[in-house]
Amino acid sequence: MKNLIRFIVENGYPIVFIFFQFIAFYIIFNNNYFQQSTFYRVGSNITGSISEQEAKITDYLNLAKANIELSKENADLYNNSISSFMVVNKEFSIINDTLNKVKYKYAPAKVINSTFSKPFNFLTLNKGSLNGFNKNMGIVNERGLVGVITSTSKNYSIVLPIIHPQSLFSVMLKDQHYFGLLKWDGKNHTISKMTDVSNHAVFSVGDTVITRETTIFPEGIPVGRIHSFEKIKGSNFLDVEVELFVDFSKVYYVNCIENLIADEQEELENATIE
Amino acid sequence: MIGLLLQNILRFVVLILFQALILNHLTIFSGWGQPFLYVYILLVLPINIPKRILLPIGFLVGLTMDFFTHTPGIHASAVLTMVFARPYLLKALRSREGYESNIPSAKLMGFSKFYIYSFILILIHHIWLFSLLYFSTGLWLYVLGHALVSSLFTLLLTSLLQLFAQPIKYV
Repeated sequence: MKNLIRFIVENGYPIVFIFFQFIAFYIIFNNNYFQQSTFYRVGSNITGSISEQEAKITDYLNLAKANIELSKENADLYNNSISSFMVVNKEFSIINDTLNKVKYKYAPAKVINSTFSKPFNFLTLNKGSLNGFNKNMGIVNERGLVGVITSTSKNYSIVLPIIHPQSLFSVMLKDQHYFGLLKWDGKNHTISKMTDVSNHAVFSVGDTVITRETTIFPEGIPVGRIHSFEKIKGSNFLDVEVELFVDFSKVYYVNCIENLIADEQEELENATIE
Repeated sequence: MIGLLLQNILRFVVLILFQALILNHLTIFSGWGQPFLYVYILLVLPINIPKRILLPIGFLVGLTMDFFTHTPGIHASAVLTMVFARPYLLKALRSREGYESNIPSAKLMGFSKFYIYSFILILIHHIWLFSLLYFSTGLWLYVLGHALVSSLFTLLLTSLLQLFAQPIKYV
């Protein structure tokens, strides 16, 4: 016992170092990005307000680009509004009317802080739980899939984008309907990988990749275009590289998708698994 | 003493904000060089600071950075390793008469010794940091390349700051 105490006193510095290093590694390995972690809630309250001030300044630099994107989006919306449809003469056509229930709700938000050149990238949105934003809501912009919300504070949300090594999204080919998982390898923010595509799939370079319908996203949100693919030796799967539609170096205005009946699907699926 | 404390706290606030708001968005050579100038806070802490206080300070600085970059624990771990090596390096670089004053600088240690001191510490920090960041990918050459280019970038900024903050008299 005496020897042990003497050992600790004599080697105090390395022991304190190992102690702190242990805490650091505990923090590193105990942060599952899909779970609400106190780290982000505490952090985003402080750093979020600083980032918002920063965004106020940098807003002006992106105005021209943002205007063009917005006017495009406006045009699309006008295309879908009632005023751009004409009344069809009922005497000459049959209308089978069915009642529609709203399943997905969209809400706009602005990206106030983001990275794209790092191996671990995140986006911060200027809206949080007060605006009805919650974790596991999908984020898209006018070009396609961006990511999913992992945590929210009152006024801010953190988005795990598709260019994060721990993100995993269910996707498929637009025409052939082969399924796969979208996973990023950490190298290039314009390219991602689609794994688990079975090797009998027939497709070609340039085909479009879209989302599958999950509890988070509706079907058909564009993800990217197939850049290249090759067979993995000794495996039944293909290795597919996808060129992403979303340019993460200028993600600015985004839309948040809320699936209003996600709970129903989750409950049913969980009950089945158990 | 209080002046020294205030000076270090001010440096902490300014450099952390500078890092988070400006340098974190800055890369050179298509992403190969990313400067982490905030380690300067720890490079110029007083020499006679008790070794065991050095570690919690490093841990806090790293954790503050983690809040901004959303990398829980990674900066904290890298800064800890760097700070751990600091007293040994200072001891090794000490001349026979010891250090005349208390703050490590190019003026006090001499030009070459200060650069060796800074570069080794920055390199330790960057290698540790990039190894943890790319932990799952196993791209070791990629890690070393990033660390080396970024270290040189950080060292360049450090020397600018050093010239700016404590001008050396060239006789």
